[in-house]
Amino acid sequence: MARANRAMVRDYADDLKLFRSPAKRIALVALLVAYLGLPLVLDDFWAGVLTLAGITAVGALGLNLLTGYTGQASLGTAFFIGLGAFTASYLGRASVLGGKGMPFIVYLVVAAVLGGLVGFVVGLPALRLRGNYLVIVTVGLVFIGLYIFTKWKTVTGGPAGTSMPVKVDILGNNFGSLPAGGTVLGRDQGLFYVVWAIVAITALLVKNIVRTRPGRALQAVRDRDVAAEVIGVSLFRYKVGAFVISSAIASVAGVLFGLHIQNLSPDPLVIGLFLSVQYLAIIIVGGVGTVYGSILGALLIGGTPAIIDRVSENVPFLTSSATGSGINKNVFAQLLYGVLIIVFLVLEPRGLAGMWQRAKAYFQSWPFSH
Amino acid sequence: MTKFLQLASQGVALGAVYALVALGFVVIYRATGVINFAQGGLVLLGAFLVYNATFTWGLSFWPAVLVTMIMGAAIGALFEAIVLRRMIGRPVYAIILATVGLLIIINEIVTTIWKTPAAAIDSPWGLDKITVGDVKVNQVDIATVIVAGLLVGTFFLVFRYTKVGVAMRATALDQEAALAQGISVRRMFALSWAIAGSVAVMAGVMLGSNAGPGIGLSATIGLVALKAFPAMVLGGLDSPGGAIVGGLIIGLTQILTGGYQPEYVKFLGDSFSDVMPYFVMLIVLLIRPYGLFGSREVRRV
Amino acid sequence: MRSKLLVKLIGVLAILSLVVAACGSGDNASKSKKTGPSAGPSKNAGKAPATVPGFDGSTIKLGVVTPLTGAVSVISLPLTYGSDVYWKGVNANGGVGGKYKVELKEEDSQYQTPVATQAYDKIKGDVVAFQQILGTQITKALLPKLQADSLSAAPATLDAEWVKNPSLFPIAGPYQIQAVNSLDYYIKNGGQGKKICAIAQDDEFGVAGLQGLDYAASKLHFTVAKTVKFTTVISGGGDVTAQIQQLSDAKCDLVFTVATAADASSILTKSIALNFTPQVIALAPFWLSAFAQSPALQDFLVKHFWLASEGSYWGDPNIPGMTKMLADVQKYKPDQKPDPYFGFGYAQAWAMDQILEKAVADGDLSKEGIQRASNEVGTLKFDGLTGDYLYGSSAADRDPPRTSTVFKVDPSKPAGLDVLAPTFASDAAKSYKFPKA
Repeated sequence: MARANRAMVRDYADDLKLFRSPAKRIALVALLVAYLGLPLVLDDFWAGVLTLAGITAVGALGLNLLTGYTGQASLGTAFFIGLGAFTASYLGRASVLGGKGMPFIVYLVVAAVLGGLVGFVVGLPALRLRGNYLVIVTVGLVFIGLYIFTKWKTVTGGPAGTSMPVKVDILGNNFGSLPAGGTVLGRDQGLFYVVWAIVAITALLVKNIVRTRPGRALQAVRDRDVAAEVIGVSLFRYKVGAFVISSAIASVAGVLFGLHIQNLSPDPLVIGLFLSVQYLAIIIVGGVGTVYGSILGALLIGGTPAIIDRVSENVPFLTSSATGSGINKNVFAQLLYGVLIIVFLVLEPRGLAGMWQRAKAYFQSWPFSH
Repeated sequence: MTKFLQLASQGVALGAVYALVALGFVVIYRATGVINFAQGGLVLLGAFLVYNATFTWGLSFWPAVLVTMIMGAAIGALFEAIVLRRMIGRPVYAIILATVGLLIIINEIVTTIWKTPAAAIDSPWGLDKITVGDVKVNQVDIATVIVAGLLVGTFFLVFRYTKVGVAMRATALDQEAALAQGISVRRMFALSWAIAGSVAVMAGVMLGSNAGPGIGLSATIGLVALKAFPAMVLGGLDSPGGAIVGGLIIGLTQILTGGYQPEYVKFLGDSFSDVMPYFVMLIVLLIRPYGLFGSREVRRV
Repeated sequence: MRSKLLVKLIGVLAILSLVVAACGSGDNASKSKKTGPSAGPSKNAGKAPATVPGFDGSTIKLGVVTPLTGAVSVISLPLTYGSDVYWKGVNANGGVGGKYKVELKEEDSQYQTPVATQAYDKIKGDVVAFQQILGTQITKALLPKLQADSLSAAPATLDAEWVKNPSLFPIAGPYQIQAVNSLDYYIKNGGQGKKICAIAQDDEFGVAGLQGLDYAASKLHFTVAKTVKFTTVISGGGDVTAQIQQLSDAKCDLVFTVATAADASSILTKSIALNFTPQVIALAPFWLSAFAQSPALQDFLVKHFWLASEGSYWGDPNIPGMTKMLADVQKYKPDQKPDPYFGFGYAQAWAMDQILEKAVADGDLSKEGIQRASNEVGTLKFDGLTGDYLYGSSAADRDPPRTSTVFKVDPSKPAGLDVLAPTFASDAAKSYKFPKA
């Protein structure tokens, strides 16, 4: 008898497999090649765009776990991004630890732990508040957080902001200025390696949580939390746990974010409500409840302004100067962002991941596709 | 004592502004269960449209407000029909995000069309004030309080005694049963968004005429609307009376904190009054998770 | 079914455009390599400058990183128009040195540091220098990058920190000078012995203004009775009732105000509401022409408001620089309303022109060549449009104009401002020392 179709699952081990089909394994190899090769050919602008997309993907993975899988809507991501970034700044500062500042791994872990702890505190009210009320409390968290950041001048530099560690030392290599093939790579090219490695690790982590027992528990909480409790799923453990993990992940994203922009102040336009909304948009446009959806969403939402940027020179009604005629390309990018959100929500509720599934199904069942 | 009264009157003025913004939120939430993040955008749009009506189209104040209220209603109903209608049954955060999308679009449109407006809308009150004893009160703030009170009173009467009001309440309670009774749920949704749109225009007009914080006609009006969130939540997401009470509480808290906290509780910093509303909201929610007057949710398992 | 097709189409288009854009980016590659500035005099003096990134032999490109959209654009747009109109005038006469036209490459920073950084990275390989970077925070964030890339920029903010920085080409007297001069004028014109208070926004700009206030206090022998701070509306604040109440309770005679146009309206309206009518002195970024036309604010402004800035009122016939600017406005942007920020942008371009002329004379339009030219240009002159700025032979020798002008409000004048105290430099301002970079 012929081999079973790759989509057919015959036992639990099969269900758990990450890369079931040869196609997926080939894709993995291709991605690895891209990962190693891209920073060597990208210019500063695109390296920056892709690195930032990677950072947002990390945060999106955390939020997806919380909102997509556990159903706890949260607009507090921006707070944890800020927390992670300022932790990195403070601990990585030259004045700490005798003139050198703590190494990257150390402050990354500290930021994650700190984020998790604060996430625990934030998760507690989640046990009592539902849906809409919870969302607004997380909004309050962002504003209170911004206030604390602004006032705590020793750590964050107050409104003037603070600078981030320049060297990113991992295992002896400074990724801030990595030598490769004779020349020294730019900062964003070097960070690309760090960021996307962390994306892979986080994606693996989230995927592992999701495809095993905790993941099923989380989804039970999302669908009918009272019923879940009745069948023995501890709401405390899973609701608060989801907050803890997603906050830790968001803090990690914050550390990377700080390293990327190099200079951060408690600016509500940068780490305020708008950023939280962007994360929510990313997981929804990417596809809630899927891991690769968050990554796709981050790439799309991060890449769209950059693409419009490049394309605008050739499009007649877009302008980039103050004196040009036509719509300013940033206004257009923002408008497109708003329209994109609405279009995806209305027409494609399962997001990019859903589109991908459909495309795959179409080709898999060809020539019988419909 | 004078200082306290003066601050309190300013707090009531600010609270009335928050209440007006929160009312728009509440109308929509009560009828459709959706938190409309775009309410701030509608307020902003309302303010600029009134300005446009008076300045560019040459209407005088009250006709301009009337025309803009109709436009606001139309915009609200249009958004509901085109976007939200298709999102019935989707999870909370998805619908919130749709309203955020609308907010982004409105913000971009407003800042692109009106680049350098006047400092404020040309209202019949300007910055005139009346003086009661030692306390000075702006006429426009009194007007805001009156408008807010009138609106809530109207809502109360309409919801209680008119057919349409009862129909809206029925829809909010149980859509299927309402449908079974012959109520057009679609029309109720559109109606609630239309009302919210007009209320937003009213709020925008008052803000643009220098009520409350006195920012006048500025692109930052939307940010002020954001500060009405705690007011809305505090009072209960589906209670118009709660919106008024919540607004007043938040407004008074904010101003009184600003007036006394820097002196007596220095370690919290200079502008703690800006985040005090969120703390108050948090504390109230921990005690009463549905706000002061919000209705408890019935969850079926 | 139609929606499914549409959605598929969008998906394919999105992926295609990503691919196309990524491929197309190859020619704009600008990897940051570490290069050092070259030393020694230009060997190319008198000859045509060699082509470099940003100069292709006939056109010089200058970068602009400023908020083209958003709340702050009400200041940055007139500023950018000012530079744009200046260069149009120069290009009409052939360009810099009569030969090389100048083109501005503008990028929107949205007043956010990360966006500004991205914008900078995008155009840094295409320009020889930056005509404008707006925002104290943004300028600070881009400084390390400017240094690493050997690029220079003209900051559209007036912090004293920029004066001696070799990567920056500042113009006009810094905020600290404006503060000192205006307070000196106040003291000498009836302010002696009066109660002086201050209200400042809680950020770098506020810090700069208060620095000037403190210096004035020490030199002119007065003490500041009360200082209150507020969070700007853009940063989540927005209500200044409490702060104004505190000043009113303290019965201040003068309120020195360090705020921008975004919060100006609230501050003015609240003061009027509380019947608090002290003399108000504000620094240049406070003003919007619309305030003078507002019936509610007019009365207060005319009676109690002074603006500390530079230059003269729009249209002053006694200033040759102003006349030149108005001629250009008439030719290239006749719909431009009188706006002090326009004048500033015009002057910024004028300054860059003088530096570029020197660079062309040296035959070197590279980034290092322009920096060298800035150390050879001597004094930047503006025919009275704004104060002359001594650039000296190195950034450490720079000396900004110590002059300021105090304006009063007159709704009948263009931009609503009329000169109260024409360009003067107080002794206190002359003694101010600027920090090394």
